[in-house]
Amino acid sequence: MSVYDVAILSDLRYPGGNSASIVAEVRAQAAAGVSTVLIHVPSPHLKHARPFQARVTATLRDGLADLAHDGEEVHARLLVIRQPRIFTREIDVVPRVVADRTVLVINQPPGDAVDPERYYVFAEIRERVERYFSPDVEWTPISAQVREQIRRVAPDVELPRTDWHEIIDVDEWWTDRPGPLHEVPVIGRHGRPDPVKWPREPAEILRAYPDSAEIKVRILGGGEIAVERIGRRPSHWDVLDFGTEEPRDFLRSLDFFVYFHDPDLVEAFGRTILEAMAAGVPVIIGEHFRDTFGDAALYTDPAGVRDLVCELHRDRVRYRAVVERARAFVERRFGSSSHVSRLRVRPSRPALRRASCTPADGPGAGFGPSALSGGSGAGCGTVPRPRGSRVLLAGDHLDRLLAIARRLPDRLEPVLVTVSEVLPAAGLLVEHLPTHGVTSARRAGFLRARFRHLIEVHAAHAVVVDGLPHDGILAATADNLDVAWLWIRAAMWRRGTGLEWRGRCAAFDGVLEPGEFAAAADEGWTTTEAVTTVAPITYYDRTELLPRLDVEAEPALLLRGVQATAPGFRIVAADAQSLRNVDLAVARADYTTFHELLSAGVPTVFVPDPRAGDDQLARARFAAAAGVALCVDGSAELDDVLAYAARPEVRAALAARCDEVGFPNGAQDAADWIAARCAKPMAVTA
Amino acid sequence: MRWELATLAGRLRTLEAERDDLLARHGETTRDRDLHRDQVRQLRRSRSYRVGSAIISLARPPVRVLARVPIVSGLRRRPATPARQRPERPPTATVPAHVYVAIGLTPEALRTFTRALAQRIVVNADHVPVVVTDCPSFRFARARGVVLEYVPDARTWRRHRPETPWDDLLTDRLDRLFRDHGCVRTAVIDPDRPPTLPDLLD
Repeated sequence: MSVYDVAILSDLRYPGGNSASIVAEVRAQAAAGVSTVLIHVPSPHLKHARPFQARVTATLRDGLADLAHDGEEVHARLLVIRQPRIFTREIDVVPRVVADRTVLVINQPPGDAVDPERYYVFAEIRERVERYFSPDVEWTPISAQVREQIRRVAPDVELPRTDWHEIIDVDEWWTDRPGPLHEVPVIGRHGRPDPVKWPREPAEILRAYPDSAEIKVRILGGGEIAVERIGRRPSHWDVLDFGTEEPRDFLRSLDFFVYFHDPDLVEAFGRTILEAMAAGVPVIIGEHFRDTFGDAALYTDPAGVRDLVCELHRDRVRYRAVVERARAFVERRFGSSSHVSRLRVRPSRPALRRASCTPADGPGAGFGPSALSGGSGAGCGTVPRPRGSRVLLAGDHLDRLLAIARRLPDRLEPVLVTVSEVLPAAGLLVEHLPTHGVTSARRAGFLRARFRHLIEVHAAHAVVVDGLPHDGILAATADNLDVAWLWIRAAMWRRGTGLEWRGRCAAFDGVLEPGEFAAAADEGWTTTEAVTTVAPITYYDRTELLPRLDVEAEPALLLRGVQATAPGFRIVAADAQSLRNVDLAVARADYTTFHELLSAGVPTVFVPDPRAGDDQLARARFAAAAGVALCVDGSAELDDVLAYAARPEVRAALAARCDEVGFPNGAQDAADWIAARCAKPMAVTA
Repeated sequence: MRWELATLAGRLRTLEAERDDLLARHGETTRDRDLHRDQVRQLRRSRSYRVGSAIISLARPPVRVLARVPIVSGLRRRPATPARQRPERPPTATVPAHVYVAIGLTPEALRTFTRALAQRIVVNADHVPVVVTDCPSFRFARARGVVLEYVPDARTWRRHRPETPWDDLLTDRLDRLFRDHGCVRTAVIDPDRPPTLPDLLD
């Protein structure tokens, strides 16, 4: 079991600062040899399907972090949870995380200046997170602004002395510049489109971002919000949609980064400001950011932007000084080393070389051609039959089909077609019909096409369907008229159910009903449509059952689909051939189990499955009435019946009664019936 | 190498079938279009159509009534604010399938691979992965979002059907799968080094 140094849990699809912060931390951690796993939890606020943010995906692609598997427990020394809004509702599937320490980074305040809990109710978030992950979560704001907002709504919550500030790798962003790049100053901003990221009043917007020949404005993301508020698109603005340029490239085109927003917004940190500083662009922002950015930025109000820009644009020496001061500040306060130290984990891997920042052993080799391997090998216990006509045996009741398959004449080669993912190791050729990945709307067409394909590939002479003849199968019968279509139609339907399958016999060349010991108690719809029937079908004939081993031991209890215990009995697992070694069974009354146990003379307590489609209650009650078994229905408790069945004289009586009323195995008759209908010659195809 | 060729052959066959189908339908559509054009021309030339058009033109009023514009003297009119435009959402479309031909993988390798695929889809659900496997214990490789298609392995096939090359079975099967699942892309997986999540993201 891997123990990661750090697990980061968040919605990895967020387009803006949250993902940028995660990426910065992952890269810093990888460079320091700290192992990281990302845990994705969809936020209720990102309703539409979207991929992970591209840079987050890149960290996975480059092997800088692993991605947690859905449903698997993650072990980490430190769990960092980002974005409290993810927990505004109960999560459908709570990730299982075992961590020595848990930090929730409050990278968004609960509200704004007007409504302190506009975005989330802190107490609710706190209750959920502590319930999901740990009662000892460290609630850590990313800035003084957020800290202040938390204090307003939750004065009692203990907050650490230092904030979990953003970090940035300056080397990744930096572009050196001796001074302004353009003759006409270019100011700009970037960020995700959000109305609160812009001043409310059109006049304020135009003061901060003038429409003037003196200054050019570039906006990456959200510009349409400003345009709408102003009521027109200023001719000196260059508005780009969010995501059309990489922020790093966009910042290289600016002389100044200018950011003003809605006065009611409590900006959590201002990651875009940090990015601009790291990119070497002088930053002009509101006074309320001074606590975070100190002397690294230039502070004014929107009305002061134009003069400040023009003044600094003319003074290259001062411009350069601002750029260098900001860089030094960012490296010192928000560099990667400050992050690694606050993790308080000892790196479990060697630190990566800075130049590549890729894992030392490199990513996997990936795709490539391979020589034909000859396959992984299938279960193969018997010698295959001599080649002859092929019969597809399709259905859910593998035991019944296998019982028939082994008794078909040599001239007929069975091919098993099943939806079960447990492929039998019976030496047969097996085909699988997937159920996953095929919607109910497509199911009929899928079945029809797949049967056509299988008939063609195997040159099948006949198709035997042991199960429900769905629409797709009916359509396949019409498509393949030169194939014999045979239906093994189960009986013992619960009263009033299954009527929709009536009338489907007409699509088949023959219908066979596998016999039921409890046929006299059958109240289902099949009793109104008489078809050919055979004795109950089991895999083994009674003569093939292995003899009982006379070993002195505790009596053996077999459980099939039911949980139970019986004092003095040891629970055993027994296959169909070894049932004579079972002294008592507690089982569901499904077709195969019911007839196998009775045929083998095993004293049984049947517990009908109330959810089953077949009438297990009728089977069980009939068996009880016939004296061959005991039954637990609504009126009796399993423990009481089991205690009675455990008595040696009771078990002996049940076994004797089974011998008295024993029934033959109808599997051979079923195989003969199929063989007789496969005598029809196939149409010759060109 | 042989079964990679079989894979390509299967894919080629599917594309040829799709092309032929499109050509047939295009031809049919073209014939329909031409037929309707002829019918419209004939209709327009007919006497009854000309008479009907004339009657309608006489019934139409010579002056059209404009929409009434409320003007209240003495009050300043507000400038019209542009309607708030919602960002367009892309129309929902069926997610295409990518078929991964994973022949010869051990059960453990298959499971590792399907788990990586499941993660790949979590990162970006831009396709439905369909994994073709010859591993009979494929049920242990089930992973959310990954479709598993089983094809009998070559050795079992040769035992039962020695007259039919297994490559042909694979070609036919892949042709079928491509169509059943709406496949737009195929990848052949190296059984010795199945791709990891970073590889799948590359």
